[in-house]
Amino acid sequence: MLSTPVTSQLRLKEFQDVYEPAEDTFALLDALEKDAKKLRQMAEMKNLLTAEIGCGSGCASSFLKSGILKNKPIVHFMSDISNSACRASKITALNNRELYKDDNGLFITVQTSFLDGIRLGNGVDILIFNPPYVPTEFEEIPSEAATIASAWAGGTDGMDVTSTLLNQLKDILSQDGVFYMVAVARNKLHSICEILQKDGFIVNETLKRKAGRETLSILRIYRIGNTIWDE
Amino acid sequence: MKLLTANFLNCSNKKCTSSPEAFPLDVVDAKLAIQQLELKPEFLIGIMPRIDWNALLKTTRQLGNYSLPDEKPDLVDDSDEVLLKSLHNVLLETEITEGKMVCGNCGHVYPIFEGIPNMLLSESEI
Repeated sequence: MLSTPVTSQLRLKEFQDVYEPAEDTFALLDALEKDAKKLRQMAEMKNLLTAEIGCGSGCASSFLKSGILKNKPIVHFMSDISNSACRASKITALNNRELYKDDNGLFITVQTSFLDGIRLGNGVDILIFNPPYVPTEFEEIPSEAATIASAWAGGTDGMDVTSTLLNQLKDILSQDGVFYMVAVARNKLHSICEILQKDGFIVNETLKRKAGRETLSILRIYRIGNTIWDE
Repeated sequence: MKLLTANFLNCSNKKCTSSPEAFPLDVVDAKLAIQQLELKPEFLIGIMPRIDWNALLKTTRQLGNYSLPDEKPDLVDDSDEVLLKSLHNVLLETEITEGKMVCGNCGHVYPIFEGIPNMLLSESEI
């Protein structure tokens, strides 16, 4: 089993607004580790471009890039709208490269919404996303983007942010790419599946776990005809 | 951010994406730092197909670096040590720590702060 990335810098006051790794993060890590063999197989075939949207602490990014895909010549993008999350992720990436002894490839951190301003075309081979999925009333959604609430407040059905990404996914993911996202039952998973199937994607629920009152799901999403993932 | 990063950034405004003026962004008022790193030929060979060479030349020349050849070189193995070293130095060892990137189409200024490019638009621009 791979160790969990260290994010001890989050204790500093300057990072108090950064979402700390929690049950949802760990579920995502476990789902990635379960697929480690196939993810490494992808990295054997070509030099991958990978990305995490809303990287937060950078924990999942480090786990994927420096843990599972250690020493592969990968370019990994980390995006977050919060500047403190971007700074925290850079530190997490640097520290854990050392811990995992990951000596190849590159992390690129960009403060942005989704992958806006990043020129990736249909080129992202592995995309991970732990969206703000908690259903919230409209009034609760913070207008100030940098507050920690933007890490969890997901609007109606918790799907406001997720829907925006799902609608762009066909323009982001490479032909043989794979996308992992965190969801909860209240997100109306069938509507996620509907949006994606319309665009030619297959959705697997690869992990399901109780976390307090929530049931967390990790979805694995890829295009129809993807020979690595089609079982 | 590494100079290579500039090759992956364009204006966030959807209206600009189709404009040839929006890529690469013009790098201005840049503070540079050199960070010595171990040369990884495999990484450079792999990244070459993804690089827009003309955009890279424009960026490097704006920063006063003329070390790269005019034509995109064919990098297939690690035999050309001089070329690998110069690519490594430009793409990976050159850090833009502070500065701005400006869209040639709409004029939007994207700041780089502590090595992190900020590609956010204000809500009125979306």
